[in-house]
Amino acid sequence: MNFKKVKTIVIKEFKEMLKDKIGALVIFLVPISTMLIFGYGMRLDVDKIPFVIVDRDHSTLSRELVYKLSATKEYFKFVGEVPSEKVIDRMILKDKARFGVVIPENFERDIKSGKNRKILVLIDGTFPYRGEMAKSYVVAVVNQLNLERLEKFHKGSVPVELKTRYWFNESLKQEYLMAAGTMAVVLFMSPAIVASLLIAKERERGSIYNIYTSSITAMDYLSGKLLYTFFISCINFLIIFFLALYLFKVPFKGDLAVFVFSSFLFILVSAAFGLFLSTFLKTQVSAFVGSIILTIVPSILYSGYMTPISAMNRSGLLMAHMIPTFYYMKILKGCFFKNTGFVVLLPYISALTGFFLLFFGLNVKFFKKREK
Amino acid sequence: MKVVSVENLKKTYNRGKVVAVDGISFSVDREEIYIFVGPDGAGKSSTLKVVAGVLCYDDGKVKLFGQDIRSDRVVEKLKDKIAFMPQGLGLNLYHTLSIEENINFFADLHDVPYDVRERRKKLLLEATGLLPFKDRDAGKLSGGMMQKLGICCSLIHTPELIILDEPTTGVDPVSRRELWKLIYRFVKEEGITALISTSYLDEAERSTTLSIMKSGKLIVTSSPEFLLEKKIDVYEAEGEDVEKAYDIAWGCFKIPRLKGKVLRFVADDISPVSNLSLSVKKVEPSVEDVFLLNTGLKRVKLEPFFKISFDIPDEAIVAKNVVKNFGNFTAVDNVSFTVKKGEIFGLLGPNGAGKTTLIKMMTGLYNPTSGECFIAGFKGEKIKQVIGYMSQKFSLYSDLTVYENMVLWGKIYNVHGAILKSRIKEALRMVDLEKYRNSVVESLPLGIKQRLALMCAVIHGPAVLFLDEPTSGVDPAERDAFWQIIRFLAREISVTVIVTTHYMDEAEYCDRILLMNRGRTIAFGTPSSLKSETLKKIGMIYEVKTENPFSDVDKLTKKGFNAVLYGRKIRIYSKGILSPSEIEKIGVKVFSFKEGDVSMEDVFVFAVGSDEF
Repeated sequence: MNFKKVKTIVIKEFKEMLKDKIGALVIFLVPISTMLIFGYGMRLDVDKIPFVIVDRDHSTLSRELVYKLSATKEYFKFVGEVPSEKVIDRMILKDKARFGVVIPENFERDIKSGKNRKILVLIDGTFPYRGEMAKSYVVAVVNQLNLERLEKFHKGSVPVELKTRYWFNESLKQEYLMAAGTMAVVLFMSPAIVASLLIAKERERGSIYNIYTSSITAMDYLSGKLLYTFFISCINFLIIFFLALYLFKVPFKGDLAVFVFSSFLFILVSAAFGLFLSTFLKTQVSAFVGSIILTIVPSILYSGYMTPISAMNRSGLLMAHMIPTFYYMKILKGCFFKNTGFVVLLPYISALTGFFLLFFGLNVKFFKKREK
Repeated sequence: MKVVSVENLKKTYNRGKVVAVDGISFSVDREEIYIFVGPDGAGKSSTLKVVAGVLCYDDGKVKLFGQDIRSDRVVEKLKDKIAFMPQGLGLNLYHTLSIEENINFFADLHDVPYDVRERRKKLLLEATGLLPFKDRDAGKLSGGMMQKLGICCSLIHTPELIILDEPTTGVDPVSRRELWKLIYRFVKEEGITALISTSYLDEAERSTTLSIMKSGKLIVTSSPEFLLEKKIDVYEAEGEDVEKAYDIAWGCFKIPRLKGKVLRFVADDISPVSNLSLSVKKVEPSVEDVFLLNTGLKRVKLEPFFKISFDIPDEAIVAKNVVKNFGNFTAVDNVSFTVKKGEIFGLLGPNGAGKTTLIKMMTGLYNPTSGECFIAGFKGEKIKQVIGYMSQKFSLYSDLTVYENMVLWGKIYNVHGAILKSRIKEALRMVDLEKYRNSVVESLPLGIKQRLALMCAVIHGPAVLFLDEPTSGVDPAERDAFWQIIRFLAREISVTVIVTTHYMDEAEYCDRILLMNRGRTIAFGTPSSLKSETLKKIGMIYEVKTENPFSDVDKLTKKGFNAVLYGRKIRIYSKGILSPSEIEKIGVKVFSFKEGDVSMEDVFVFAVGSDEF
């Protein structure tokens, strides 16, 4: 290794970056905006769903039901009472409400006299997941009401009562998981883009010939590009880490040193992967698009970011183990939510190290200073 | 020991489907300036890249400094001894870095120690005249300056072999002359060997050895002196009957070319034209003559296939005091001229002279800040209907076939149905493109693309045709065929043709020439009148061969002679009459001494030079 030449490459890249305002903006803007877009936009939580009520009974019981429905302010928002189903229809069409509950006449009287009454729930099904949530919520509220009434009438307690408590993300905020998980996706994507563009740019312009015709070795040249990408991406890492902690307010429970160390390692893996891609993707456009697709898609699908690992079939599981983000996601979740010790994370850290050595090794092997 | 020796080099692309270099052999001695000359696609770049050790090759033996470079390990060890500048204006430079930062980077890549670097950088920047601009970004330099910086960067590590791939393409003649001076200087002072490629045939005469290359093969390898002093009788004829003589020449002489009003041909016996009103004189052969004698020339048979459907005034183009300002910058400064109907009019000037801006005003893309431009009697937006335009890049759709391209162009210009069909048929037959009718454009040779682009530009029957650097890098035989078509359009259909070009050679094909610099007209007239005017201003031009041309040119310039090295010859520009003894007095041994012809390049360099100083 000729460290002077490595340094030359790194310094040249920094100089170019500082003078190229738009390029620099892209380097920092892409990860931050991805963080914001994914962090806010990819949430699958359902909250503040607006709903309306048609109460044809106006009894104590009907009011109790309405009260119970609108009690969980976190998830549902009671918009108000409307005169008829037709209005519910209109409200849903106008996006003012997502579902409506119709309580029929003589609701209380009939129930008190032991009859079985049905209530009608009209749900906006355009977004099935949300519709499903609304339905199960209303069902739960009605069930609870039923149970309470049963208790009253029979003066006994319900045989089994389920009490759930979620650990490690007590408030069950998917927002936390998404924001933290997005960090993994962004950290795999952005260094890979930067690195692949670095070489594709030189190749497209023709300045790569300067490298071909000088005595610099492939190892030195690639190390220079890798280090530059690493430094840039460390800055990016700090920015998005702060975003996760202070904007998305994700609690951090683990060992900071272990987390930062493994994140840096992960950045190196991604940078080496980007350099590796540019061996095959010769133009800037193909390098840019290629590195985005090849980093984001597997990260989202197979790292446990959107689909839980436990829900994967054999082939999915195999795929997951081939993707560095899977291991980093384990470390990240461990550090953010669990305070997992270093020893437990060690296998994942070694896996990342392995990936880095593999990618960088392939780079040095495949980078030829003579064209075909 | 030879610096480079190549035997039977073969290089193919696309798994052997495209043969770029087809078994060539050559060798280069120390301190030689070895030039590869030939049209685009001849295999020059591939050859240079192989020698520079940046391209794998299929077969053959390539030795650098006596070592076979097939193995990567060997070639890597030699890389600090060579420098390679790839093709394209400033493409290997880092455009956001300053001149100095660029040079520093190259120095560091080659491990040049700091103190050596600083000394050498100063020397190189002074030699190239870039010192005052050393903090300027490379991206903001003119084409000529970029190439000079490229050479600085190549020389910073004091290489023994410098390989330059088309260093002068796209650079104007003034900068070109400076670049050559620079190359000569370092070859002489540091004993460097230079391997250079160019598509300008006239530049090959500057070499010590030249190889003419075509379709992957070397046609001729020789020293320019030997090549040009071979018994080739080249004549130039001028006069009233020149077009008549041209017709006769196709029957009796070899490689006749009609350049503007001058007919050039090779003949053993000139009696067939002796009773015409012509003045015929014998001239020195050029590399182009040799090239064409080897490859042959073809006659294009033409008939009118469209008529201009409206009346054009005799003064087809009138530009009156045209000015174009961009903010504070005046791109075109009070230019006036008229072009006659059916005239071929050349627009020349260095990079940034305002040619493109002027063309854009003439084609109705820009409105002049003041002054007026009439094209075939029209003004402003209406111009677009009566003109045809062919750009340097040919503006063809490379994934469509020849026929589809023509249909598209026709329809864009509102030619439809049966008229379009018959016109396309005629056009294709005329310029011999029928066999390519259903070929996809991408796969065609450059010369064919050029002819097709021209046909597309005239499919709607324009009154005025604009050609923007139409023949860059095209084979001279193809170029002549192209000019035969242009001349036909101008003479027989009365199409008025405007050409911009960097090729001084091409300027000779024009009837009249307008030379621009910094937005203004600096010379205007027919090629021959411009030449004789320039000769009057210069005085005399002598071509001198001496014992040590490299050091002799220095001696001469020190003594106040305006001397320029040109291959192994020295050209001396002198106000008064010189004799060999005057030169021998200062210790230069003269082998031969004769008057030289003034070239279009001299016209250009002189006009631009006297405009700047």
